[in-house]
Amino acid sequence: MNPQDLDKLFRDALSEGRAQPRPDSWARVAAGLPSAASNAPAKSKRRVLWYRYAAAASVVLAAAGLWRTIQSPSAVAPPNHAVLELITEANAPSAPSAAQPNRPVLQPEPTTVDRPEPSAAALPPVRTEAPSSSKWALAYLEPLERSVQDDAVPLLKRRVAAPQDLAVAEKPVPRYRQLASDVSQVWTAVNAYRSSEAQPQVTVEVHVPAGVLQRVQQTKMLAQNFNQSWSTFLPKRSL
Amino acid sequence: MEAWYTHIHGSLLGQLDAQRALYEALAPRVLHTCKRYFADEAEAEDAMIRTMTTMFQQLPTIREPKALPAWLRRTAVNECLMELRKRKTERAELSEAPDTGTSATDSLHDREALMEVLRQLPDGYRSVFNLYAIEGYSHAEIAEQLGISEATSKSQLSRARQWLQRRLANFKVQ
Repeated sequence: MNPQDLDKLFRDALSEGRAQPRPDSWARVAAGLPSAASNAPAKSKRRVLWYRYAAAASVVLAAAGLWRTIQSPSAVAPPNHAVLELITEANAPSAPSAAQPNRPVLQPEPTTVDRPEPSAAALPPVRTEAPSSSKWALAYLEPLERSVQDDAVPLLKRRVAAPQDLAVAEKPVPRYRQLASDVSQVWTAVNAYRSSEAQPQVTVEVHVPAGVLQRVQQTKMLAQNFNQSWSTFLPKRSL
Repeated sequence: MEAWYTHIHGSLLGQLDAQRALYEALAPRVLHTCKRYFADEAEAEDAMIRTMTTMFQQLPTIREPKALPAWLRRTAVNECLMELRKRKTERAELSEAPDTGTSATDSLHDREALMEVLRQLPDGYRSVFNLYAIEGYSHAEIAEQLGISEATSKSQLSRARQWLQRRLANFKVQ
């Protein structure tokens, strides 16, 4: 007989069929039956699904909160916040210049309010800026075309004054506008600090980015190649 | 729709009469499958009971009742193979196989006779022949199920066919 025929013979005869079990088999099966609460797996499955829905809802809520936090300008500038002022290390409070010549103020000075404290004479004036979210931007060196920084003051210090109640910005200002606004107020902050003789309450060192220093060096080399003095690139001001 | 469909809901609710009705409808099929893998009737019965117990335990997780017979058949085959593996059945040589022919009937197409011939096969041959010729497994699947190589599966299938052909020839002579 062909092997395929042999396989087919047994497959057709024995693939489907019935055999009567012994009568006592049911008792053995019934002994191993689950209890009436056989729906427990379904319940646990429902519970697992409920946890999944809860986890998904939590993720959605967290994402919505994060999105709102990012989009809200008040998150960047809280109602009570400090005004950052930039000072130069070279002109530290120990050497305030008596004569303050005209220095390039690239942006009009904001409203200035003296802080009402007992030792007001020894404390610097607290400067309150106009409502703008730009006040919370970090200090950046502005482009050299606008205000070439003195290489003697690569290290800046930033003083945190007392918090003031300021109006919240009505509409968010783009990030690049915030940076540009702060950079333009560097010398305003320097002048404001020099006019005072008090020690800064909190100082935070801000290092000039390496890219900016490299650009300064490149500019100096370019000036030397043109047989010009580096000071010709500096703004007309005296330190 | 077959009658056993109607007992699934009651079985899920834990009704004993519905569970018994479902058992009585499906257990003969399972026992028939198990008997093809064991020479001993009691071992086939034990495999059937384990399969039916597993079915009642897994019944809440079975989504499609129409697939229950196929699921039962696969489960029964797996139970039989597990039991055979547990016994670590030695692969009997062809000469060790009983060749009595005493249980044969006069009709080759008698299902009972063919079942008896099949159950007289050595365990190793019977498993491979069942899986390949009746269940439709490939040699790769058989090798994975039984933990043997494909070459072993092929050789055992060939020897099982030889053994069966010789037995069937004896029937014709008789």
